[in-house]
Amino acid sequence: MDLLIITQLISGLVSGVLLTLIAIGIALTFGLLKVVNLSHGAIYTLGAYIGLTTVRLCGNFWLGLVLGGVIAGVVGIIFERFCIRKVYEYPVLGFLVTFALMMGLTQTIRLIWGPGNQLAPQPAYLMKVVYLGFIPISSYRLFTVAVGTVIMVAMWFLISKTNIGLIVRASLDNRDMVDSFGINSSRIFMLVFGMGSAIAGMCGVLASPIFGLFPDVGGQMLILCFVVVVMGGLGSIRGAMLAGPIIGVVISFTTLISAGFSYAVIFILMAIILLTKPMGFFGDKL
Amino acid sequence: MEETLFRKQPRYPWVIGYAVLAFIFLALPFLTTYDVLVEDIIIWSLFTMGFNLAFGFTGMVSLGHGVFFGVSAFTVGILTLHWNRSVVTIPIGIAMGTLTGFVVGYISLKRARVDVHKALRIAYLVLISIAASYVTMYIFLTPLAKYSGAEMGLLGFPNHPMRVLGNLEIDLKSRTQIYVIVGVVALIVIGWLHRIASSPAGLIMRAVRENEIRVGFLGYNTFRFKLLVYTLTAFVASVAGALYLLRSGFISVDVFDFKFTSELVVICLLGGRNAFLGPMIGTAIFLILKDVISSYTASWGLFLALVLIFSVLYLPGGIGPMMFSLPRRVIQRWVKKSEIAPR
Repeated sequence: MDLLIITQLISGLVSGVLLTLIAIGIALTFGLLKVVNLSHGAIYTLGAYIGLTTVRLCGNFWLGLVLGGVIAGVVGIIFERFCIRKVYEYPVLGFLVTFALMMGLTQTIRLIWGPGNQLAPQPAYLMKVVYLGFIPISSYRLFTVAVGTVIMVAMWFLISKTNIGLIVRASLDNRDMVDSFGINSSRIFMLVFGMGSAIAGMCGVLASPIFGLFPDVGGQMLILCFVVVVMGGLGSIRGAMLAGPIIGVVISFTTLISAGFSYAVIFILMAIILLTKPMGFFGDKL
Repeated sequence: MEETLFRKQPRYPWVIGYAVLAFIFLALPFLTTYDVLVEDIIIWSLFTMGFNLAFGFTGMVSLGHGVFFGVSAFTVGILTLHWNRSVVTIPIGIAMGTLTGFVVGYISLKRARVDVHKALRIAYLVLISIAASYVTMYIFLTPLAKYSGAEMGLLGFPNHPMRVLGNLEIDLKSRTQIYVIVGVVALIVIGWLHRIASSPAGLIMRAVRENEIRVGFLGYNTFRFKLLVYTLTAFVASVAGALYLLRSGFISVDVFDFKFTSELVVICLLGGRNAFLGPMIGTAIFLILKDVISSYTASWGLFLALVLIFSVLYLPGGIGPMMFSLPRRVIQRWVKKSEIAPR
């Protein structure tokens, strides 16, 4: 019984890290552009399928990871450039456009790769069981956590230590001011959007052996990510990093009862948090 | 989004409008062979016109109206099957749906005050309504599975007549009776909605959409006002749910899915969310297109997405107002010409 609890805890933490990674993209786009980006989930699915195809064609997992990220990022930039940019001033329309993009991309994926479940690839040298003391863990999950941590640290470095990060943080505060300094903030926004999408795509490649791979998987992940983002405060990366593992653990314990029950529990949790701390754990700081 | 407030308009076009609506609702189902489609359009336009009061007029994006639709329909169905075969169940079902709407609206609007950014307010509404959809889906799938029929949906509803008073009964298998009931109820509710939309309250709705803070400055309690509108739309959704159950005799938990409600959003946007009759035109276009396209290809969703993107980016006013404004403009030009001509 103890073993069951510990393994559930660990698998919950692992999925929490992945959820956080995907949620960071949503948090960034919301904080910067004030657009609730529903197409993020479909971009996650696209990255996962690109990774699948790459691994099937050339058998290299790392290449799949990179390609999934790059193509997802490019698609994200195209979305931002041609559709979402035109509706920044109208939150309702922005919400609808991203919803339509999500639907369209999911349907396209269904047309190309078929509606069924796919067996997601994982590198052979990671299909082992590692023992932490007496607790068995799949080494792939450990690998996922390691890669996820690397991406998160890189993101943190980019946002808080580099010039681009400075511009991003300044635009969060006052976009007009940044523009008047002669910085092309819309280009920065495009870059940030593409970066969030690229991370989502890489996460798709990383997470599909754990969460499964089918055209609608992105929608499910999106819903969970929104809970994470809202609990952490929309637009806050620190909040998402705290809320992700919490949600992951809650899901992995409540799934023991039933899948529908776990959804009901996390949404009730979210409603309670929205009613008591409407700005999330840390307010609206990045 | 300019709108002329208190535009001077002659009253008779509305009489013509009601007459046309009455013809569509009461006579058209009996005149065509596509009566099922027409009935679908009637019930769905009732649903979307109510929904549009929240979405288009007040600017509240909610994905939870399918929940109220479903709660009302399921309550009527379950009570009829297990408790009492009479029309008493219908008001109870509608009351249940409205109550759910009040609770969901209260939770999602309570914290979305004016000092919160507009996009964040929309996000709260959307997310809490998605939450409501998952919670009700769980409730109807697991604890109530015995009554709601779980994934199978509610079965065996239309087998017996429903008692009204004494010997008066609604025969649920008679198309004529059901069509007349649906048509009359839809006409009454739509007329009532039109009264609301053209009253001062309707103006405040639009004012809240444009700038909620200024409406607050004018002394209106926008939270209570929005909650009122939300509950009202939940009531209309519940009426539509009850009618839907009466008409088709079947309801499944699919209606709780937020994707079901997102179709309403698409319809409102397609038909024109600022116009009162827009959603009805949108419903007609949407359902007919769905019927036609689904018979050719399975990727109906892709088509829908393309239409939605196009209409958001290039036609934010929707198709409905265009259909009304074009003939009006033509007539006005013609009237002007005939006025000028005798001189």
